[in-house]
This record gives sequence, C-alpha cells and structure tokens, in this order.
Amino acid sequence: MIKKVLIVDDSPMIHNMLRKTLESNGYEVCADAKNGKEGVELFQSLKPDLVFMDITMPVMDGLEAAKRIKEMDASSRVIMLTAMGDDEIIAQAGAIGVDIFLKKPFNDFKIVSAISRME
Amino acid sequence: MDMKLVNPFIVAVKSVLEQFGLSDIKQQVVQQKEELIIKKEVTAYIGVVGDLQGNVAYSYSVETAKQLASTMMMGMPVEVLDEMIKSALAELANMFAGNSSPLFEMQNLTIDVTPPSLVVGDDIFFILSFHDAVTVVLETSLGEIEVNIELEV
Amino acid sequence: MDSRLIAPYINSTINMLKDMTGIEITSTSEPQNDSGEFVSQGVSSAIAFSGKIKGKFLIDLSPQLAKAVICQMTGETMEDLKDRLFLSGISELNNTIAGDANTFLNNTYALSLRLAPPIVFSGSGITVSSSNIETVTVLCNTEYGEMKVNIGFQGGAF
Repeated sequence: MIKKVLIVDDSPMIHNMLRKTLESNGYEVCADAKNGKEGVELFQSLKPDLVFMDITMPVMDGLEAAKRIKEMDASSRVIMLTAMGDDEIIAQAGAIGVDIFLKKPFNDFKIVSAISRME
Repeated sequence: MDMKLVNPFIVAVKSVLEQFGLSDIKQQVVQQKEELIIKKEVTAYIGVVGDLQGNVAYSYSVETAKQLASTMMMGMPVEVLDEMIKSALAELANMFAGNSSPLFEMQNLTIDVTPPSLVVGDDIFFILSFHDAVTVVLETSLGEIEVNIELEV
Repeated sequence: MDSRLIAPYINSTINMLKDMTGIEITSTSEPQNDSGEFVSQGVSSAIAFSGKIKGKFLIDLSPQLAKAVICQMTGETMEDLKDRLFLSGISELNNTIAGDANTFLNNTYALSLRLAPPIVFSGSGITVSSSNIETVTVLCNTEYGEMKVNIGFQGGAF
C-alpha cells in the first residue's frame, strides 16, 4: 500500500507541483530532497514507500542515486521523472532497476496511473 | 560543496590575471549558499560538462569589467561595454574556465567547457542555482571578482 | 547552422508549452541568424548541453507572458518576477523543452546529448551576448506576447 512518497529534484517548482498532485490524490510527501545525495540519505532515514527521482541534479545525479537506493533495498520503488527520455537513458535506468520511467511534463493522470501500476 | 572542486577555478582565475600583470589578489569570502543569486551587473557564465556538470559564472561591476577588458588590451582605455569589449570579457571567462581544466585532470576529472555567454544589466536578478553552490569573492586592484560555482558530480 | 538541429527545438517549444501551460504558439518566424546579442524582454532562462556536439538553448519572455505561463502552470497568480518559485517555473519550462528536443535528437541521430542545470534571470535592460558561437533566433507568437527562442551549436558534423 503506497502512502509515503519522497521527491528528489533540484527544481522548487517540481516539488511544488508534484506535492500538489500527490496530496490531492491522498498521498503523503514525507520529504523534499534537492539532490541525489540528499535523496539517498532521506531514503535511508525515512523509508518511503515510493521515490520520485529526477536525473539532472547537483552533487549526485538521479541515476547514481537510484542505483544506490536499489542496492540498499531491492524492494524499493523508484519512478524516474525527468525531462530527458531518449532510448539510451531509459536503458541506463532500466539496467539500474528503476521501476517506471516518466518523461516530463507530468500531469495528475500520468502520476496517479504510474503509482497504481506499482501497487 | 567540496573545496577540492572549487579551488581549481580560483587558482585558474589567479594565474590568468597574473599573466595580465595583476598579482595582488586576495580571496575574501567563501560562501556555501543555499541559493546562488547574482546581483552584479556583468556576468560571464560558462557551462561545465564531462566528469563535472554545472555552471561557473564570473561576475563584476561594470567598472571592474571595463578595467579587466582594458588590462586584457594592454591598458587601452575602455569607455563603453560595446560588442568588442563583451567579446573580450567572454574570452576572459573562457580562459578562466579553460585554465582550470588541467587542474581537474590532476584529480582525475576530465572537464570540458561550453561557449560562454555574457549577461549585462544593472537591474538583474540572476539565479545560477536553486541549491548547493559556492561564491568566492576575489579582491583585486580593479575591484571585486565574484566566482560563482554550481556543480554536480 | 544545420537545420536538422533547429526544427526539433521549435517543435518541442510548441508542444511542451502547450502541454505544460495550455498556451498555444500561433505562429513562428523563420530562424534568423544573429550576432548572438539581444535584449531580454524581462525573463530569460538558458541551458547548455553536451554530447557528440555542444549547444545551448535559451527562452526569453516578456513579464506578461512569463506571468501567464506560471499562472497556467501552477493555478496561482504570481506577480513577483524575483520570486524563487516563479523563476523555478520558467527554468523548468526551459528544461522540459530542451529535454524533449534532445530526446528526439538523441534517438534520431545518436548524439548522446546531456543537459546541464539551467540558469534563469529577470530584470530590465538586460543584454545577453554569445559571441563565440553560431546562433539562430526564432520568434514564437502567443496571445500573451512573444517568446523568443535562441539556439546555438558548436562542434563536429553528425
């Protein structure tokens, strides 16, 4: 049962909009991480049910962070949410074990249906 | 941000300025900022790609920019920031960033730089980064040079 | 400049602006080679990318258009052009357009282009110059004003 969500993205606007979408659909945003390193740390301390992960971020990028999270916990659920969606990067994400790859821009429907696919 | 990633940019600025005869450069402040907002009037920013990815911005007042350009051109007086002067300032940023590359190689990091852009305005609110960035202020006889760095590894 | 590089950016600008805000681009000008210097209308965001070739992409909006974009994006009216969230929205629009164009270019021509984080600024009387790179500017018309997009590439043939 997915309830607690961690958002990892360096854009304040993404945090704002994704939080609105999630909260209005009954999910709880447990934290906002602004880079991959923070994302990994918050994943460890808060154990969210689901992580939304951007790719282009300072300090540690999203692919590296997703890899570490999957290594820490193979049952973790990670959805990549990113502006880049070419075949090469999708393949890289798949090889890491990312569950779903969503290309921005997102809307309520895309987010909610992706989450329900993960239940 | 790890200072090991910041220092090459600072060392490079100092060594380029020394080649133009400017040697008394003091490193005044190092700030780890939550958000990097630039208010100085002239900014030459350059993208960094490769093992490090991000932006480096060199910012000055109009007065300091004119004096830097003048120094680059053997002391020729600079009255106005015209197209030629702006090109010289972009080239200066290119030299600053490019000279940091060998210093990163010594850390086994290969970087390349994207072409510089110059942004000029006296009413400007410029966000280089929404998080995790550093500003190093260098004091020179021509005025302050702000080196603003936002990087991902 | 290779015209194969320009069209994807125009298409992505039109499609992403519509997807993210509902704002339609009613017409676009022919790409104009420029000296790389222009005066910002008030709100601009630039992003660089690199792979087999290097490039940069910039969007430039009037305050009126920028406010309409943010209002449609967030459902809220924001007036302060120096607000962090406001500028984050503009930079996110830029990021999404460039990401979409690069996705197409990567899949079509195997360019392996990767984006650096965007920069964003606002103010008045700001000029932007990119003298050392070949750029083109396209004017995109909307009901709220014009959006200028500026595309520049550097690097080998592909």
